Amino acid sequence: MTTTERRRATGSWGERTAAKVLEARGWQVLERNWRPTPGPLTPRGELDLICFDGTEYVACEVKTRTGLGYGHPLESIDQGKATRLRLLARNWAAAHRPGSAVRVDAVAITGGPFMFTFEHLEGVV
Amino acid sequence: MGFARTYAVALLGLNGHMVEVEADIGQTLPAFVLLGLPDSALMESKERIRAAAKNSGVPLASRKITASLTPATLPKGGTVFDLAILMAALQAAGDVPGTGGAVFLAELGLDGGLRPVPGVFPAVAAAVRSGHRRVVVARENLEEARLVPDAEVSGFRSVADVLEWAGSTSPRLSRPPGQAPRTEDPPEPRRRPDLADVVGQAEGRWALEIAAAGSHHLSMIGPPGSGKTMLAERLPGILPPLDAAASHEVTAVHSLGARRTRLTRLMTEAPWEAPHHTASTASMVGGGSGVPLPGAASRAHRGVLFLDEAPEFRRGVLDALRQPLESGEITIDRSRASARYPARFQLVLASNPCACGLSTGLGDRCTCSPRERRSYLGRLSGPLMDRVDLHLSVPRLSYAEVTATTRGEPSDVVASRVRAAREAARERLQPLGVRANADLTGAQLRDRLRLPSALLSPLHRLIERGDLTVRGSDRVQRIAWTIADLEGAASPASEHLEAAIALRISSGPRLIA
Repeated sequence: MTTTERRRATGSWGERTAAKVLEARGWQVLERNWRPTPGPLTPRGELDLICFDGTEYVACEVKTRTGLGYGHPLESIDQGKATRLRLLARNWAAAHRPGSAVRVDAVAITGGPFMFTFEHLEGVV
Repeated sequence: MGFARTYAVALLGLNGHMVEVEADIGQTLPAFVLLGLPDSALMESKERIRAAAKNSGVPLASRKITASLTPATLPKGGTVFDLAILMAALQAAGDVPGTGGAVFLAELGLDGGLRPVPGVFPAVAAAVRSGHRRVVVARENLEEARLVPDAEVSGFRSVADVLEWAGSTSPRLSRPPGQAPRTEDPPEPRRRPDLADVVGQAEGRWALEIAAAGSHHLSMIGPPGSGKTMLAERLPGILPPLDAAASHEVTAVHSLGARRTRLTRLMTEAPWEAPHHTASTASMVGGGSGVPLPGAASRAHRGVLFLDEAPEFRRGVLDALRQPLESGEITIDRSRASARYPARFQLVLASNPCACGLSTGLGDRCTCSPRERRSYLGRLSGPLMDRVDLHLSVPRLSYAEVTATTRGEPSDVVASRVRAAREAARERLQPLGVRANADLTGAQLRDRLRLPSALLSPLHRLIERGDLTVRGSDRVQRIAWTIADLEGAASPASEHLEAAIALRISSGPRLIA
């Protein structure tokens, strides 16, 4: 596997794991890797997971790292990314659940299939 | 949990202010916010803290960490807060059970080692005064911190050591590898220059003794090589040792200087400062960006400030000395706060008689124009010279003096006479609220210490003749009191006044009355 393929594999494993953990908590996973329909004013990027936690809609950004050597996964969400997540979340809500609020959470998975830590920060943006 | 508080000290001048360091760990994306008017060195703390924590095996929580140094309006600077902020952040994250209200004063290296900081002595003194007796410093600052009585000081080499001391059970603690100490051991005390080394110059030695006994400022004018510098260097050696209060002040000032040697002992001898004549105002009276540091005048507090080639100093630099000569302290004002440093020093000035230095005796070798000759000593302003009681002319040594075999008295003999004279003066001066004869005001001389007019008639004659001003007459009287103290007399007799007059009148080529 090349480095890029390995990285993608890690990332998608992380997203699948995050979805499983959240569903085990009773959340409903509504969308995976959602992108807005392209247009002149739509924000770029995608949302890893869109869920419903029983009370409100939640857009989750999932960051996976196999170790902490390159920094904690959450440290890679900088101001610019956070703003984009906010815009994407609002775009989704306006298109699919008009009138509803949506919040943005961050999920960090550190480790691998045999052992990992799962950290969940709510309302990060 | 999620919140913790430790303590540190911020220094403004020599005054330490307790600082509460609070840390809060929020539930949002990783960030490190530092509040409390940090200066740029302090802002850099965040990176040092982050690296030190990681390399010690206790990385900072991956959440938003907010650290606040209160009181927020007190300007804070330097690296001394590093350790306190880190300990608060670790305690807030649960990596350390508690710190017991200890005060932390140390800089952090990226490797997790503790580094020494300046100003530990006054900072620990302030902490103890506020009731915080437990203090943690870098190992290299341990002796200095222990100079403060009642302080319970621990000195460590690394963050891991501090965490163990604080009861952390974290299994992953790691220490930086051992290193050579970064500060040098204090040097062996130098043999102080001795008066016995000075050949001849009887009048100069006599004037030096008077200067020491009465704390008079001294100006020496003479050709190059006549021994002005040698005499000046020997003044600290005949001054009495510092008393406890003075010793604390001097140690505190020196604690703030940029030094490579560790401070391990209280300073008990009169300090000596001899700035070069190219010195700037800031180096002389203190300043610098950020929290202002003491200058040479403050480092000379309770000691001697020697200005060799006095007319070569910049006018503004000499003028800046008038405030400390007047009030005994220096106040450096900044927009947010003022720093005050003590600066009660004994001033010694050495000058050549003219720019080329050869206008002595017949003055036939001098290469200056008449105008240059007149204006050279004029660079020493009236107000400055007004505060100098002793004006001495130091002539070139004669052949006979140079080859004389009898040695002059050694410093310790002269020092004991000086000490005795100061003791004798103490009873007289204490009710006047004055430390030494040099501090006696004209009003005090003419009132409480008024001498019988028969005694003062030679002075009055000189004033009438225009050879002496009233200020000059005050200076003569101060010197006369010191001479009387040195001779063991209760008050000046006519021979003491004559001796004082002789000292002043002999100041050629220009009489400075």
